Amino acid sequence: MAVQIQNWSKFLVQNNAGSQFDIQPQWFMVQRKIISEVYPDFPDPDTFRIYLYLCKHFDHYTKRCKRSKEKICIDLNYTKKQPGALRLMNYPQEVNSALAWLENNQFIRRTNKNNHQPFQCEILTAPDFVPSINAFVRPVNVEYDWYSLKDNNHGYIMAPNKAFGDAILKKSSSVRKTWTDRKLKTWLSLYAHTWLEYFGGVDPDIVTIDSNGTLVISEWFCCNLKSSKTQVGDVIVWLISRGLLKPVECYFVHDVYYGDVGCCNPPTQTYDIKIVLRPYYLIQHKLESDEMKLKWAG
Amino acid sequence: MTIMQTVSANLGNRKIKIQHDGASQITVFDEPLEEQYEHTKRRVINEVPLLQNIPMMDFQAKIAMLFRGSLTLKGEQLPLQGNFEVDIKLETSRSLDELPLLLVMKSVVDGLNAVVRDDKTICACSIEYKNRKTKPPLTKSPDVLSVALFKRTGKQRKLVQAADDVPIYVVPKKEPLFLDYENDALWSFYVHDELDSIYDALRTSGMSIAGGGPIKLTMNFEGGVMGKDLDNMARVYFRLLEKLGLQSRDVHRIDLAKVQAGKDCIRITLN
Repeated sequence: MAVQIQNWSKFLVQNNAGSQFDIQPQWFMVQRKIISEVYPDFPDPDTFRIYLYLCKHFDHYTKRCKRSKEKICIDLNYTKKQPGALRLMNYPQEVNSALAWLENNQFIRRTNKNNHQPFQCEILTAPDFVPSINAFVRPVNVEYDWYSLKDNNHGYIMAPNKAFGDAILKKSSSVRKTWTDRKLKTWLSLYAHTWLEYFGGVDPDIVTIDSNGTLVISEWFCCNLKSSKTQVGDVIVWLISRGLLKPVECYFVHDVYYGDVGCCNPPTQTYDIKIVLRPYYLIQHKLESDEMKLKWAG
Repeated sequence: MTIMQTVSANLGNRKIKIQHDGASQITVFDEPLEEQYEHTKRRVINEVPLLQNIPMMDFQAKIAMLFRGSLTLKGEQLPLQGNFEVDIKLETSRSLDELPLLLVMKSVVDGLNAVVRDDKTICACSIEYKNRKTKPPLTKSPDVLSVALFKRTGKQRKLVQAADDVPIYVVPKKEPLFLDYENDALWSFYVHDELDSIYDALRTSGMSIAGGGPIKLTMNFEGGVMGKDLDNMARVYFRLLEKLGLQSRDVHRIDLAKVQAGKDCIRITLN
């Protein structure tokens, strides 16, 4: 069941080739709990993608997602405005029912005062799920902000907006065929384990490449994605082949990232070399932390 | 008939009494020692940044969610007030080498920390392991976990909430990762010296634990213990038992309890 990467060394980052990553100032947050073996998947591909879209466009300062229903429909390719029309005459059923589902299950709350105003919403702390009665329940006393979520151990994923561009969330059969639910979930989950200062990329205990070019993937990670190792492995190979994940040889001291091989001298302490997968899109402020100033990376 | 031996050990300037039967019973007549875990929410220890193990934090968040959801539906005010007991059952196709029971217990209890006021209010906790011979499908969890939370009133206990037979990938308690290559952020454990003295007294008087299982381990902590964490006390004495020959993989069940009493002691039984 091991997933082999053909000619993987051709994907390996060469440190004399200049920066090979796209550093992005804009990032968004998605709660980790929505991807789990004890949490149901969204009812359909539209709801999942519209939820991600809303998370991406949520303004944490005003607590509003300033995206009208029309903007959602157009950005995600559900419909086009007729030539000469000032606005959309009606909204596709998929968009209406996805937003209704998110609202009914308390993932979002509408903030437009009445139906005559354009649709506007707030993202809520994702509901708890109770498997015994198959129901969502909204947690009390946990605000949807970074501090409150962290203090109450509601983990969240930080991902660069550009890694989840509207283009990959679009309603078109070719996009849906390329960016399946499993790919989107895996791609998102990999960001949950990307801690540059500790691992130089994705935690190698979650996924790494061994010396034979075999992908070594955590059983926990696959279970969390409700997928087999082969299914997750195929997605990771695909992400590597698309250049979205780049294998980098890194020095580790006491299991903590020290620097990229080729960018610094080997550590003076006992060290290991691990192949780390580093996402192509990285969040700028993560690279500018005090901790990262101690590291040597390309 | 069991023959108990009495020995003494010097802990600093104190002399304590220990009784044991050479194989499966130990009573230490002293205030139970407690090993401190770092606080789970803190991101820094001794000014060194740290990263908690994300799969473990995720597992604990899932445990919290399973309880919080049901309790919120019942209209319960969280965190719950009172004293509690926890029963855990773990059925899995994985081996105990991957799932040391004391660390699984600690992880589950830390998850419940979001539901009860403080894990010091948990005054009894048990965990039982059952090996599943059949492997689950490749996309499903190899573990099935049941957790029951009881409220304790006097000697009675009443079920508050249970999460039964949940297919969830179990992650035992893991140490955080320190952003410090020298590892000087690690806190010092004052308990080590005292534990060594107890170990020496037991070992020299013939106490040793034979390998092989399955073993049911019971530890009762008595005295001024209500302000101490059950699992933090258990961790100290589990280490003592390991030094005496106990293998974590042989332990299929653990029962821990703490009781307020006039005299301090730790009673340990293996059977």
